[in-house]
Amino acid sequence: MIRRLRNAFGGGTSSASDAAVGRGMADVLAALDNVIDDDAALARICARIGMPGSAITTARATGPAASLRRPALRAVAGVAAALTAGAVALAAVVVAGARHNGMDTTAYVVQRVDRALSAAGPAAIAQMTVKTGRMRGGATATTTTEEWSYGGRWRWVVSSPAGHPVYDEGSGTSSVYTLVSYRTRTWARQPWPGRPVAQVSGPRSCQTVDADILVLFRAGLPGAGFSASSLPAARALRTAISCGTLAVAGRQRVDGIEAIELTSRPDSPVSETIWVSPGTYLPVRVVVRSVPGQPVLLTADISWLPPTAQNLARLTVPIPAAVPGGPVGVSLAGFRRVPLARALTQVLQQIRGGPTKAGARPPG
Amino acid sequence: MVIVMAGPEAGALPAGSGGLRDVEFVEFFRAEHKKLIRFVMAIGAGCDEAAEIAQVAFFKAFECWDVIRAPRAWIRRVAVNELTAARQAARRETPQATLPDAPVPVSTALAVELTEEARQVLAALRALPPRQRQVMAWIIDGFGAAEIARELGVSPESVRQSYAKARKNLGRFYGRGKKR
Repeated sequence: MIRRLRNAFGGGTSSASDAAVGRGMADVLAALDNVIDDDAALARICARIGMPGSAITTARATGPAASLRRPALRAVAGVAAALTAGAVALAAVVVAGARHNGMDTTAYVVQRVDRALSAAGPAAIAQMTVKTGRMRGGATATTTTEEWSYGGRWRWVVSSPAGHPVYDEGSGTSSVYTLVSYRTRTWARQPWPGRPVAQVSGPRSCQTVDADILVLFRAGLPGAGFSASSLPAARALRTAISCGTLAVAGRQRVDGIEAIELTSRPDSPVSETIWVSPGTYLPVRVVVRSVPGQPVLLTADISWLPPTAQNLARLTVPIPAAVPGGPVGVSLAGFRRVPLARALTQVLQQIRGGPTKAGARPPG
Repeated sequence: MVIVMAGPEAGALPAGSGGLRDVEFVEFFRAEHKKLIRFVMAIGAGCDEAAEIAQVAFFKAFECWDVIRAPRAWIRRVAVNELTAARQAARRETPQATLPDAPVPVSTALAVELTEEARQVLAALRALPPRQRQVMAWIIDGFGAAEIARELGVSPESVRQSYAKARKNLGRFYGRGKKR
């Protein structure tokens, strides 16, 4: 680069500043290599284009990221390099993902997932459909929660076993919390009481991993978002992945994807299984079984959305007074604003009333 | 010719109907993505803004990949246009009662990674007048005077003059640093 600068226009005296610019810009590129994840960026472009991420991201290339791949994949990189060189007459190119092969594969997969989550956290909206099963009177009632999180912003819409929205809460901005109760036909909004969300680039402490997972897929209690807003999905999942409690168990088909399955070790206090896409290495499903002391089953299906204006709008809780729409089939007429404490109490009372009551008295 | 990909939505992608085109795009993306971010940073954007602009530029490149003849120059031209448009839009925006949410910055992580020399060169480039900064950014990425002149819509002589002035200014910048 230095020579290029010096010779760019056919001469000129070399100078210390040319050399400094050359070295400095090379350093900038090296720093970007450590910070920017090409795979994750490519996955976001795929999502924006609307094509399957793996169809494009599995086409591997040479470059800094290639050095991280395991030896078994070097042949793949070689094929990709040949393709780069213009070997268009190649009859077939076989691109394989990471394969199940013991601890080394686990380390590789965990590293890739960690990097993908690290990049997705700030750059993609995590959309999750969480189904929580609870035993009541010998039968299992399933509550569904739609969750979105992006940086310090989050929104949860909790529905009853009958499929009716119970409440909608979230913090569309970092400083305002909104709660809409469809059963009590009330809504509340007030400034964020806690400290601002800290932007942490690394995962949280491993000691909090079980608590993180439980909060992330909490049992549908309003107001839990106060603590969870500092816990975007990507970060909580990254913590879970990075703590060494998961091991690759093989591959399994999840929603048409031959996903890599990671399961927790037998001595882990929370039994969890995470499936990640072999194309993007982002989690696509999480299942938590037999939480100690409480026989619940949580299943979360995860999508990673680009932060377009349309997708960002999902993070906003519609205020009944301002939006005549809201969830389908629910009339928002007659909603009134109440103090937050009262709205929370009412929602909690409704939840304690049980799913049968909820199903018998649909909102609207 | 068939490109077979193992993976989630694995399947045969017939060449000529998107498969090879996708592979070419991915190769280009991997070769140029970070360089483009650096280019946009060199012409004055922060890391987060540069990453966002690069994303948009590559998205646009994918859309018309079949008709782009010189993708390295094309994508840089699009990135410059995107940055200009973003700056103009920011000037047009009216003040809001509440502050918009700030996305989690990549720059936080980058700040840790940048060496002192890297910080200094970014500061030095930002101190240059816009035209000189742009010329330097193109030169750093390996473009010649004729190409830069074509992309900037000026004469090659004008590019040479901007480059000479930029070098002089950079020399002053680094000289000043030494005196301190």
